[in-house]
Amino acid sequence: MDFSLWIRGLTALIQPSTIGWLILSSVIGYITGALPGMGAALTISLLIPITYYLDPAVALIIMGTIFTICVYGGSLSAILLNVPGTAGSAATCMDGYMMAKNGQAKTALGISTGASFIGSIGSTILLVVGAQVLLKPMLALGSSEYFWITVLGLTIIASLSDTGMVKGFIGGCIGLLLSFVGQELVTGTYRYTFGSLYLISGLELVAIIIGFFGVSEVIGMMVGKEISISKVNKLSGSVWEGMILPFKYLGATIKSFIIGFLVGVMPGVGYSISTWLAYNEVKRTSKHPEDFGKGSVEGVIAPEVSNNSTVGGSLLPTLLLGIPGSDTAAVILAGMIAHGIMPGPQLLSQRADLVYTFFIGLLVAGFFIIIMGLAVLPFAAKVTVMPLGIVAPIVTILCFAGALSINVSVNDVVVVVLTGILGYVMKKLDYPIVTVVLGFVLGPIMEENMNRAMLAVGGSIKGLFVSPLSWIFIILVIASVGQSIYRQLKNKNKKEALV
Amino acid sequence: MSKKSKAVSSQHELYFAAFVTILGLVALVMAFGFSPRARILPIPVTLLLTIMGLVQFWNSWKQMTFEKSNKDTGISANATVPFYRNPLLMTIICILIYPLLLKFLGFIVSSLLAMVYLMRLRGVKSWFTTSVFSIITPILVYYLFNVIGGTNFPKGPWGF
Amino acid sequence: MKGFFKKGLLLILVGLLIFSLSGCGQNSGATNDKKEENQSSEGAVNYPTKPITIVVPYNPGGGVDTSTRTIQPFLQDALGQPVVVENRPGGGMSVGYNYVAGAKPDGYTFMAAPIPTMIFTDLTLPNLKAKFNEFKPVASWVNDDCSPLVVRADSPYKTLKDFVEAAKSKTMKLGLSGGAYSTDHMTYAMLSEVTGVKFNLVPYGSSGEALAALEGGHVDAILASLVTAITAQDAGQAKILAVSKNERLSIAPDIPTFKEQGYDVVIEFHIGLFAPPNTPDDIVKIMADKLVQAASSEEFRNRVKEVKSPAGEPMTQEEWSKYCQDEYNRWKEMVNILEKHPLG
Repeated sequence: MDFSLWIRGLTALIQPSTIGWLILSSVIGYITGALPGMGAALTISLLIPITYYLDPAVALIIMGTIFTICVYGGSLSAILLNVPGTAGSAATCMDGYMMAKNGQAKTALGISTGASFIGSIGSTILLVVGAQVLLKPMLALGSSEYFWITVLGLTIIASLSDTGMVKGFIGGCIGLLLSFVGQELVTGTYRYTFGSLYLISGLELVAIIIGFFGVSEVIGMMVGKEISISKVNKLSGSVWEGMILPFKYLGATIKSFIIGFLVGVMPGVGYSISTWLAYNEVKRTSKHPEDFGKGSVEGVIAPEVSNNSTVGGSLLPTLLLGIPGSDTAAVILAGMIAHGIMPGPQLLSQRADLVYTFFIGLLVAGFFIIIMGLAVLPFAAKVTVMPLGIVAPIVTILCFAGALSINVSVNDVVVVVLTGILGYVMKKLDYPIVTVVLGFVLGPIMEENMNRAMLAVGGSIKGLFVSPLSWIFIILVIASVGQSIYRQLKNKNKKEALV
Repeated sequence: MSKKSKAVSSQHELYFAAFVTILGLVALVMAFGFSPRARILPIPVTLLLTIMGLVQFWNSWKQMTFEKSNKDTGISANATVPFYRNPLLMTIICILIYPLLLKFLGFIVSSLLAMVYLMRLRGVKSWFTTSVFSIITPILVYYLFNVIGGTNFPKGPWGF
Repeated sequence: MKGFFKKGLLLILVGLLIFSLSGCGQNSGATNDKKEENQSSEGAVNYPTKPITIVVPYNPGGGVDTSTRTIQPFLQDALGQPVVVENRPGGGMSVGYNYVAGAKPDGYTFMAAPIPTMIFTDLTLPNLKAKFNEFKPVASWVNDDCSPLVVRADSPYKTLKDFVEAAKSKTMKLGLSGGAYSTDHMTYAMLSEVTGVKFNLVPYGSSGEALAALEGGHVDAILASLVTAITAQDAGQAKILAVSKNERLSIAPDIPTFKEQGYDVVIEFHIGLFAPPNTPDDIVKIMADKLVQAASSEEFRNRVKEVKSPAGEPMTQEEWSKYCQDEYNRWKEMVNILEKHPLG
């Protein structure tokens, strides 16, 4: 590594206008991240025309900063209101919101700050150091491997079903069923569209998430007797305290970091999946798996580290191959090309100055996470002790606005309302609604890759088994299923022994 | 497996299981109409949904007959409240009407109405608090999404 | 209760202040543009007198959106009125299509749409509010785009002929960057039709995914977006065997076409503006002239060179209308070959 490049990158950064843009894009990224519906992809694509008038290095810094901070901002609304700001924060709702309910909103927000900081700084460093080494093996993964990885992801349903496998399976199947709606990629068949043009492009992930997490919770807030989101009406803990926790649970942090980064490098798969994989892995290996879903510290660390490390991971193939690792990376790629920065293996040698400015910008954005966190969070956490009579209606409007911002379509609002009601009913009846979201996220990726693997060998099911690499994942799937059956049986025996 | 401390009877479980079964069955029948490659996944998934629905139906049926002998459902307590005071029902009606209003009144006005109604429903007594929050929130949200997000929320006949 | 209320109010006020400041920053741009008003009083109609909306029927960040946002500032200068780009994605492009079909035909709403995708939409989708022919073609500003056939840089196939001959003896895996009824589907169907070769097709969700599969050795060749392919070729990772244009590309004249190598596969992509049905002709004419003026300006030409946009020369209203009509007639006959060569 050339040290002078870092110095040059740093001097390019230390200019009043560059720092000004850095601050401004952090603030914009944080707000658009925290607001449901608006994500990094949308924000960056709207800002690209403005960056035309700026230096390419500054443009790169703006895009990188917004990407990083947006993902972090999404956790703010996930923890405080159970409305994930971006798809990468859906898993954070699980334990983050529970902590807020227990009056530990400040701690939970602190954890998310510390974890996002580690995820983003770590992934930037790994991006610089391990770029060339990691790329080739990741590209070796083909459709059949992707298929088995998503099947592995679906086995998480079993471990998320604390109230019984049957209910978990029903949730997962409903999620998959919802994901089938729309025009199928390979055949062009319309599935469950009922002649509606709106349904042809399928249901929006963001609408499903806002509905199942946000609106279902709002209904609960309206009906319940609680005074505020926090049941104890007093805020315990502090942001500082929370920020240190990811360092204490270093095992969970490192595992989530690696999972997040590797999933990020895979094209077409993003943080809407890596967070769940990390959550499951940390839960599986935790000393206290029973605390998950009730406000576990590790349960917040896992998705928060992994969503930010996915960001770094997805930039790797973007910069080195011009292959975007996620939808936001695709927009960044478009922005780079618009500035005449051609991605590819030659980028590191030919435009090294630019790349290192970008890396330094990403590192600084990591530190901005902490600054933003300390500046905003202690006040934001007070939302959880505000009267629900005020909070619940505001969250309702935010959910509707988030749904509208996807396509400016009233139909999306209808979807959000209906899934919200369904989610509320399921929650009341002890169905684990996360399994619905998981099924919805994994369904299309599973089906598309299944079709690709089969079509590549002329349409036969053999395509799923021919690659030797995929057998690694098949074995992992069998192991995962076996483990949950074993655990289920053990629990049953225990219960019977108690009775 | 879970504690049934909430006022949810197995009767509701039964209804929902029936809903799931019918949903699965209808989706299964429809799936047979898709072209062969498009139904590889939908058929097993909807079949599984139907079967699991039936299993759940059976479980709750057993549970219900058990509860009937114990004679306790928490539901009858709500029966004395008139429907317009039932917060669950009225919240659901409110959020169902909202998308309809959106088309005619635009984002700001329909959000304002929804907020006023929901705040009163959730027991905010002061009209001052109600009006301040229900005026400021929609305007602020509208402003945030339209200025920063560049989106274009539905407008009413009066231009906002 | 009072405390919460006060703090909440304070927070909201501070928030409002910040955003009104940021709002000012954006608005000042618009007022600058308004200074150049009153240039447009050509002929009898006084048009335009207020901001114009261009509907993009896709999400922000896609090809059509990027191209529209690239021309937007230049069109704004030419018209002397603000031009607002509005994304109305969904249902392929049918949501935006229907929205514009039902829009007021007063010359203040247009759609930026790609040809032939818009024609495919008309030919394959039910429930559309207007036929393709009812829209009024304005003019086009992206005219140098088409579908490239890409192989790895270290591929044994150096020419299209090598590839096709090899494909006759062994079944090749061909990656597409779109699904059924996409333009890639059409390119493949035409290729299969003229060569008589069957491929094992592997449809991907985007050009990036298709390129990744190519790099990883999971497919032998791909059809991808032109910009993706040229970027990959410049980086030394891929080689373009042929492009589906009628003549050679002006941005990459060294790449041969399918046609000159003896395979009649011609499918070109254009992006132009369409006015809602029944828009008055004189208004369409003014808009068309201004668009051509904007797309011919020196600054725009430099801009597209920088961003590697496959813009080419603009088409005037007459050229564009004729082109759209010819293409419509051609595809109406050809669309059934999609059914003959399904993806799966």
